[in-house]
Parts: sequence; structure tokens; C-alpha cells
Amino acid sequence: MIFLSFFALPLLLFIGGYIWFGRKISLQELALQIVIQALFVGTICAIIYHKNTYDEETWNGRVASKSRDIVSCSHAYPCNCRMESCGKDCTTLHCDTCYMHSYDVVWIVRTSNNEGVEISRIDLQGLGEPPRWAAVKIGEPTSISHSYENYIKASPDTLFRSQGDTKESMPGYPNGYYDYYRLDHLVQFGVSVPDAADWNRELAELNADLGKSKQVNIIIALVGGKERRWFKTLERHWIGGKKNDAVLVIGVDKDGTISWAETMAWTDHAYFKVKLRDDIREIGKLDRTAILAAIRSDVSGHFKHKSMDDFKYLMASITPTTTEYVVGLVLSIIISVLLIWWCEEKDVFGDEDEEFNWFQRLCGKGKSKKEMEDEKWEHWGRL
Amino acid sequence: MGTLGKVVTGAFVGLVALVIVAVVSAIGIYNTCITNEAAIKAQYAENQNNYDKLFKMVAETAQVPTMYAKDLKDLYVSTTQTRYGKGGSKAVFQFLREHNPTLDAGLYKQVQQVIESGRIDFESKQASLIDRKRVYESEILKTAVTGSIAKAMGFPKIDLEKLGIVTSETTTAAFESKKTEPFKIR
Repeated sequence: MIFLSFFALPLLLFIGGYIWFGRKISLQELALQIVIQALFVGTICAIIYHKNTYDEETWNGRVASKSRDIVSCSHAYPCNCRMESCGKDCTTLHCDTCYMHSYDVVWIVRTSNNEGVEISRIDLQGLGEPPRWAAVKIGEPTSISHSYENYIKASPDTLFRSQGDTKESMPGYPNGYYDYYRLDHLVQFGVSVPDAADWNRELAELNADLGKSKQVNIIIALVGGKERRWFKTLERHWIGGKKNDAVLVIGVDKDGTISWAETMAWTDHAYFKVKLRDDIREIGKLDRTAILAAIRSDVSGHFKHKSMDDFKYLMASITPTTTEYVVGLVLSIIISVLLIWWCEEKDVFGDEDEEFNWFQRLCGKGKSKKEMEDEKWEHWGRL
Repeated sequence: MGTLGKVVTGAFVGLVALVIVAVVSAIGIYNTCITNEAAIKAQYAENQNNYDKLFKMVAETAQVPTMYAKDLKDLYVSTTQTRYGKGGSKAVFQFLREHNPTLDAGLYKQVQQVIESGRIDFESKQASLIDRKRVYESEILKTAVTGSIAKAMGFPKIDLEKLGIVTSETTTAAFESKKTEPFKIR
């Protein structure tokens, strides 16, 4: 449908141009315009589809190994340049491609999820050992972003996406990766805990332990001054979280009492959500060790994330935003006008002398080149 | 080539292109409709399966003897149908107590969690069914071009109304009468 809406108007313009410009646009040129426009509109649709469905999830694991690898040099430069003949009165500059080094060295960290992270070199060729690579410890937690297609994000009308918008300030989704493979999984909103660094460190360990086996990304959001129903607003704002997220949202009073708890996760096993919520409520106080133990137990025992394939049917309802629609349509029209202009100016297939516009001919407005030539001679003959 | 020949050639090329586009589109639309209908039917069956699993989980969690499991299913179905009606799920717990006198607080809570999560899962499955039907109807069957081609090929071939969700008599009555009573806590 998106394709048709971007393609219909240019198609009419092409047919209009073909009729209007008569001999100047041939049938082959019309076909060429349609093919180029179809490719262009197809590309626009692919970009919109990719942009709307594109999302990132976090894979958690541990550093499995680190290595110093020798690779081909990546520092190319033009060399041995000389002028070469390209015909009569024509010379062009030709250069070979040379490399600065016979090899380069890359400093790689590999994780338990088979991810590779390249540590920045301290010299061009990479011969010197980077201090950051030396500091990498085998077994330390890693969190790395991976892209996936999120059909829910791209389908504003699906029942799995809460409708409406909020004007109040909301916490951002935790995706601030830093130091190559680190991520803070604790979100604080309206509340601040003095041991946030410990929360993050222990959460990283928890995610490293369960990340690969349970394919999970555990996030804790501590929220102050909000009632339980605010959870729904957060769920809407984060579009239910990423596909492998297990988000525990805890409402905390000023004295550190847990006033409410809710869980956000894409799962067909709601027992996990209900049990974790109840377990956290039972703890009562913001006891880090007890809370993390409850999460470990419930995620290990009951968490299973839902596959995005279950939402693949939403592909049919992927809708461009108004801006995307307007920009796409305008670009499509501009390209079609440029194509008409190009075909009108150039004789792409060298067949315009023979071309005949049947519409103008039928209307008595147009004449073929040969007819115009005949008329000219006839005119001179009369004179 | 003469003038008439060019017009005929152009028209023929256009017609061939149109036929190719129409055939390719029709095949695509046919496949989309078949896939969607199969998915809706599968989701409906999955909902039934999930509903059946629900009472079994309750019986299992509450350690109700197998011989009473069937009675529990009948009771569960009737209380779910009148979810917010007289008695509600209290009847389920009364039944459990009668058939497992040792039902302690821990087990009681676990049964509550199973019932609640089972209902959330079932609600999600029902939402999936509605959403699949919504996409099939609004994005395929009711669109101008695709919808007309699909209808010309005889779609929908399944009775979409029949593959509906499970609801309670109370809900049906409230939506028919457009009236509802306030919830009574006691």
C-alpha cells in the first residue's frame, strides 16, 4: 500500500509527460522512467520499513577471551601515479593502491555471546598494547547492543501497544553504553539511592550470569512519588520494553519502603511477572540483596521471552508517520519530474526521430519530424 | 513501423505489463490471505489450548486429586464465564479447600498467582486473536485495491465472526444494555 501511494502520482505524471511532450519522450523512455521510479519508490519503502522497525536490544554475557590479531593493513593511499592515454587528445591519471604497513594489529575482546569488540589502538598500526585491552579481565560482565526488527514499534494501532501520549517527564530507556561493553541497568526516577554503583555492579553480574542462558536483559527502575498506575505510562513510553527485557519497576517511599512493584516483559509466561511482583512486595524494604536474589530466582525459574516472530503479522500494518509520508511523496514527485525533464531533453535510446505521439496526432496537434520536414518543403515549394 | 503499429505495440506492451503486475499481485494477495486465515485459525486453537491448560495448572498447583480435576474444570469454566458475577473465583477456592484440606497459605498464594497469571496469558492470547483479525480485516480485506482483489478470489474463506474471543455473560449483557452496575467490594 505504501508503495502504491508513492508510485501512483508519478505514474500519472509519466503518462501525462509521454502524451504532452509527444516525440520528445519515446515509449522506451516511458518504460525506463517507470522502472527507475519503481526502484526509487522501493528504496524509499525499504528505508521507511527499516527505520520504523529498527530497534536495539542488549545482550549480556562475560568476557570469554582477548587476543592480539594480525590483519591486513587498512591504511591505503594512492601511489605510482602516471598519466595514461584514453584515446586521441585524452589522458587520465591512473594510480595504484599502496598500503602503509605490511600488516595491522587489532586488539580484540570476545564475549560469551560470540561478540567481538575492538579496543582502540594507541598507534596507527596497532603495535603498542592498549592499556584498556591490558585491563580487560576474563569473566567480567559485558552488555552489547544488537539490532532487531520490532514490529510493535512500527505498528501504532496494534492492541499490544498502549495508546495515548504523556506530557509529563519520563525516564529514558537505559541504553547509555560506555567503555566498550558496559551499561548501567539501574534507572532512578524521583528517587536517588546512595548505593547506585553497587546496584549497577551487582545487576551487571546478574545479567552476565543469566544473560546468555535465559536470553534476558534485566533492568530495575526505582521510582519515587508515583502511584502504581504510573507504571502503565512507563510501559507506553518504553513501548513495553525491548524483546528480551525483564523490567522490574519498584515504587519507593521516602523511608525506603516498597509501595508497589510491577514487571514489564514480552512473555507468554505471565506467571514470571506475577511471581516476581509478589516476591518484591513481600520483601517490603529496598533491600538490594534480597531483591536481586528474588530476581535471580524468578528469572532462572520462570522467564522466557516471546519471539518477535509472533508479531510478524503486524508487517501488514506498518504505517509511515505523517512526516515520512510527506517527505516520501515529495521526493517521489521530484524524482519523477526530473526523470520527465531528463527524457524530454535527452534522446536516451536515439529513437525520438521515429517516435510518434498518437494522442497529439489524434487531437490534430502534433506532427512527426518527417511530416514537419515535408510541410517545410511544401511551404518553400509554394513560395 | 507505421503509426498505428506503434500505438498497437504500445498498447500491447502496456497490457502485458498490466497482466504481469495483476498476476503477481493476485498471487501475493492470495498467499497473504491464506497465511492470515491459517494464523487466525491457529491462534483460535491456541486460545482453546491455553484455556484448557489454565484449569489443569490450577488443579496441579493445588494438588487436587486427578479424580476431581474434571469437576474443577467445569467449575473453573463457569466461574470464568461469570468472572465478575456472583461468587466469582471464590467458588474455585472453596472447591480447592474441600478437595485439599491441607491447602496452606503458601499453596493458596501460589494458586492465586497461577490463576492471575493464567488469566493474563489468556487475555494476551485473546488480544492476539483480535489483533490478527484487525490486521487481516483493516489492512487487507477492507483496503480499496487489495481488498477488492481478495474478495474477487473469495476471501474471507473462514467465518471471522465465529472465531471470536471468549467473554462472560455479564460483559455481553452490559454491552447489549449499555448499562453496568458499580462493582461491589462486599
